[in-house]
Amino acid sequence: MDTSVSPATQTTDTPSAPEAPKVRARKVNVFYGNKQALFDVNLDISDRSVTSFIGPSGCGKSTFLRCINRMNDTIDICRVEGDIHLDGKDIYARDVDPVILRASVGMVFQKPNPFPKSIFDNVAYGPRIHGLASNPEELSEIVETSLRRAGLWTEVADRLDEPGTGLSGGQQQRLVIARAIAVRPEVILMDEPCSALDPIATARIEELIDDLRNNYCIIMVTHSMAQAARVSQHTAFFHLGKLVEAGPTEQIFTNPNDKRTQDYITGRFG
Amino acid sequence: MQNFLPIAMAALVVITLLAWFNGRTKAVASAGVHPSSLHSLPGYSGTYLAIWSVLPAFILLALFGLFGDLLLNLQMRQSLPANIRALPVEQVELFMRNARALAFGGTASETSATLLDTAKTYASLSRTSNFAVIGAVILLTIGGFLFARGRIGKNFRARNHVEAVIFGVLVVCSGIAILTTLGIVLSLLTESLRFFSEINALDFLFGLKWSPQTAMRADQVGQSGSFGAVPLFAGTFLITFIAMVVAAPVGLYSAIYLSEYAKPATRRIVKPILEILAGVPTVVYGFFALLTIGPFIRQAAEAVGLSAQTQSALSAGLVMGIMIIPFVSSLSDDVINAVPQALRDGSYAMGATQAETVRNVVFPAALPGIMGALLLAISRAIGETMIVVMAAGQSANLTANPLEPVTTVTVQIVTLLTGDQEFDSAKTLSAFALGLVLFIITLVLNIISLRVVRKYRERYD
Amino acid sequence: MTEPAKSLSTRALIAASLPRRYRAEQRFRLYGRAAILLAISALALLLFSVGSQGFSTFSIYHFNLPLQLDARLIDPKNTADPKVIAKGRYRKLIQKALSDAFPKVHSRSDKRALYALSTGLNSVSLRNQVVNNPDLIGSEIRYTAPLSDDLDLYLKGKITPRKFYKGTGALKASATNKNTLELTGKPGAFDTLIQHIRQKRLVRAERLEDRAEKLLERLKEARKEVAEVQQVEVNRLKILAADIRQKAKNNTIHLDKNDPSVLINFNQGFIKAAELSDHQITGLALLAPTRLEPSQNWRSLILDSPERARRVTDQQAAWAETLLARGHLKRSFNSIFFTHADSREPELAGIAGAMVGSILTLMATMLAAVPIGILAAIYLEEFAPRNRLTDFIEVNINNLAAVPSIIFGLLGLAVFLNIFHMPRSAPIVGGLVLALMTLPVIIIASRAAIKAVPPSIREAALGIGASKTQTVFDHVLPLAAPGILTGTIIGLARALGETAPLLMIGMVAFIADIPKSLTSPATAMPVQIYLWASSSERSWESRTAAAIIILLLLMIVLNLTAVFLRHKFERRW
Repeated sequence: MDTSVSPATQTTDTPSAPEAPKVRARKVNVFYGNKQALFDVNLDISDRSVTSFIGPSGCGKSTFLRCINRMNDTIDICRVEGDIHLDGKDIYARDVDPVILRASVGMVFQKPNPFPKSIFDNVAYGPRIHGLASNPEELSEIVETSLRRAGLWTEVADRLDEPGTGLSGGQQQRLVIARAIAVRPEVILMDEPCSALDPIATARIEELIDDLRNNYCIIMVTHSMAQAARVSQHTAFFHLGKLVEAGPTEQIFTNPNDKRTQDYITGRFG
Repeated sequence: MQNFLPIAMAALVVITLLAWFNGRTKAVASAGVHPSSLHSLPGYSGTYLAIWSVLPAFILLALFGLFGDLLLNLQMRQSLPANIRALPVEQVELFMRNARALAFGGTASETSATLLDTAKTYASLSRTSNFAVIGAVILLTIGGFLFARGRIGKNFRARNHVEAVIFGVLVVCSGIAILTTLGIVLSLLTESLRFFSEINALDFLFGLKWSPQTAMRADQVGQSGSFGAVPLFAGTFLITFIAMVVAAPVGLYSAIYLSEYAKPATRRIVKPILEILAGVPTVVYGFFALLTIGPFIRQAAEAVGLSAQTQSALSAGLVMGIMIIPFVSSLSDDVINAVPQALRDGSYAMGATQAETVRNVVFPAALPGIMGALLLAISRAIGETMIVVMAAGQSANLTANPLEPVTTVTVQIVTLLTGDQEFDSAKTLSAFALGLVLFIITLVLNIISLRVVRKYRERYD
Repeated sequence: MTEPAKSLSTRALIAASLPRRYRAEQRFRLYGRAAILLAISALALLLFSVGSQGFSTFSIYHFNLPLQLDARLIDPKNTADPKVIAKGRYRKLIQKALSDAFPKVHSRSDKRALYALSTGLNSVSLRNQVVNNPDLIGSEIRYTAPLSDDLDLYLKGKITPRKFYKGTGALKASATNKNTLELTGKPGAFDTLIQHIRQKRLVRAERLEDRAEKLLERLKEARKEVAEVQQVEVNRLKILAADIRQKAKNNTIHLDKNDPSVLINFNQGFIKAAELSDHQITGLALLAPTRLEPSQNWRSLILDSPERARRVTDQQAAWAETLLARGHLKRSFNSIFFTHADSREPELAGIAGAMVGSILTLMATMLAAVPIGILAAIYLEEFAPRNRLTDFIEVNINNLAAVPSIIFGLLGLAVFLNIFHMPRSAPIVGGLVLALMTLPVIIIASRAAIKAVPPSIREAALGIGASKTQTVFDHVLPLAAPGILTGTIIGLARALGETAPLLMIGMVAFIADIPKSLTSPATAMPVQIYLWASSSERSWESRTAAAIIILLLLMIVLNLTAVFLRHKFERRW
């Protein structure tokens, strides 16, 4: 079988992941109704680094990403099998509440989706529903910290009351990142975060991602191989619902083990 | 005129068919041995000929049918004897009515020599105009036929001409919507202006006493009639308020549950059931209020020591609320479904529960649309007639107590205009003034809500 | 690094908030369910209250009485002239047939009560029967007219429950004076009856005490003078209640005007009890028994609502029961309801007139609104240039769709009736008014259907050289037809249920004939329902409900047709 490569062993071998993996997936299968979207995915993802998922459209990389914070639960016909562990704990175990899980595994989507509220309320949304701030000052502090981390504070500090939907696309995406940071997650999932943005905004987001890597485990789906090469330390290549190959970004792009990976990164298909 | 109509119809059909075949034959003949050398298909030539033979005559007939009587009346009025013309308007009206009755068969309330004379002129004038029109119709038919037939030929662009006529018909048809609105506005305005020439508009809009009985004779006491519409507005408002108190939460929560929580199977069953609720005729709701809800409210109120009647604002409001539930729920359902999934995903990804997502993200996002839907529902409630006619009562009470009977604008329009009365009395005209107020209020509500809903749709499309 | 520690405390905070949040979630979900349940149960209650009222109307009690067509009363001189026959005294014949059934009724007031079992209007149908078939004169026929509506309601148990109790043991009767009988049974034979009366009396006493209690409570807040007056009333109520309680205990009970009626059916007679003990009843013979010999064959009938509170007297009830027992009354399908127009007498009223009126009106609506609506939709969707005027028309149509229906009625009154002098109450006018009302609905639905046809169809047709008009009429319109049809049917169904505009143009008159043309006076089904619902007599209530059932069935058929068409021809592009 051509999936005989064991990504698990490969990632543990890499020097940049000496500690236990943050996220650990074993034999993950995903079905939409009768259609299988993912086949036996095994993958380890390390903390405080950026991991990119690449692959042609419909290869299952977004599906896998959405498994990590159980967003697939919101789709009725979707069924997930196999184990995904976060810090050694099975996130699909019966006693795990997706609400808590999603608070520690934040997500940023392809299209910026600020809520139709003020900038302040957008960032304060998470802390409010989870009851993270005990008084207004604390809440303001959380909002400010999050916006600073997302690199948006200087641009919006004087107009926190204005609607978040009035910002530019790149600003909106950073607002959404700030919104995710505000609940102090450990992992941030990003589903093609720059695909709807212009090059300048993309550059800013990439900078931000590189910045955030120091504190969070970041997992990113991207269409752009250049972006994966620029910002990520690890890369996983998906094809037709299977994980073909995973490893340090440098190795995947310069010396892939699998023929299909080679074909994809050299532009033969995709 | 009675058996004239079927004969005219039959003639019309026959002429149309004859003209069509004739036109077609002529076109084919003109092409000679090469049928394909014709500019248009021969059928178009037939249609062209048929249109020219029938349409002008038909339009003349239709105009005569609509305005003939009117012109005749005008003509008659001009030729009335001077002493009659000097009479007050109502008496002239009565004289004309009697003359018409004598001329065309009917029961006249009196007869006199002048009346018989007028009737005779009336009848002869009517006969003359009838013959004139019939003659004109025949001339138009023949003229149209000959004119069109002369034009048909090998290179004649019959199709383009027919299509131009079709285009004209299409334009006229879509103009009818405007004509309707114009008709509504004009008829309400003219009658209302006549009303306001007798009754001060301010007294009407701000007066507190409504008792539209006007004196039949001058010596009657206490029948002066007062037209203060505030009790009607208050009653309308009270019932609308009760209806919205029922319909807004129930409709909204149903819409939210159906669009956010319910399984597809549940949706498939529940939505048509709610639609049935919307399809039930309002008169049935009125009967329901009268038969079931009204007595129930009376008994319930008596059980707790309050006095209530079978007809009350509460019973009408409750039932109207039930009627409006599906209206609110289906409009809100559309609006809620238009909220992009990305917003919901964003909220779920933050770890929000479903209720938190709906309350804090979906609902605020849908709010403008929902407001539009509620405004439409209010306009519907204000204009609803049968439920209030049957369940709210007729007495013009100025009260905020929902257990008392109240009356509404629509109820008064119905009460004022059903039964026999003089068309020109202030009592009857006041119905049109009420109609004008009703039309303006609902129009404003509709325009605002339609605009809000449309803006909202554009935002997320 | 402080991040992990912070993160852990975050998790703890979130976990702590979870129970509260999930309770809120449950509550929210509950509100949604409750809302839907409320809406559905409102519909269920509506359908149930209409259905339970209406279904009893579909069958009514008819006479099945021998009637002598006495030539002396119809055509005494044997002229065989239809004009003479038409003037016969048919009402008298019906009255004779009833008298023959109860020959012992003599007094004028009793006779009037007896004749009330059949409405006088029934003579019309009898006359028509004879006029159409003069050979019947002199023979005996079966009189099959409907029973008077009050008696019909009585027999259906809608006035007061008709409870029969089978008697135990033999009963002996003896006449005390002319019309009074004394019935004696074995001890305890009438125990059930006595218990029943006693219980009813106790309930009455309780109700009085309740009222006294409530008055007393309000008394505390009342002013002094008012309180004094009310105190008197309270005392009166209390004494009354005590009296009733006392009388309920007696061994022999004298039935008063507030008690239920107790009728004993003995040897085919009916005795109305006036005085009653556990083994003896004295009372008036409403119908004399055939024999006075002791007999096992007896039963008692209790009518809970006291005689003065209902429209059917005990005497009439006894007659109706006797006719029923003899087979002279039969319950059967109420064909009158489906074949007659409106009538002043509930038992002769039907919805056929209103139904024909509705059909004629709807025909006029359809003829006017459907072609105009579809053509307007075609213009707006396919031909109209995008400019101010088109926008205005569009806004106009959307607004017209939301204008209250009664406004269209005012328009009809002012324009069609007062300017164009069209006939009042005519289906053609009603149809035109409803057409103006339905037009926006049809236009909007047709536009949606036309818009749903993909542009590729138009491009294909234009591409092979068809003109714009040909493209639209030959290619687009056939594909949009199912959608247009569905929208049109739904619009017409709404027009069928519309009442208010028709009231404005006088279709609310009492019309006792089935309309024959678009210009003859008519009424429509919803208006008929409104008219009947406003009548106060009880029997109109069930007829109203029955008419509603028919109207709803018609609307359901129309809507199901629309749904069926949509499913059958629905196409997704």
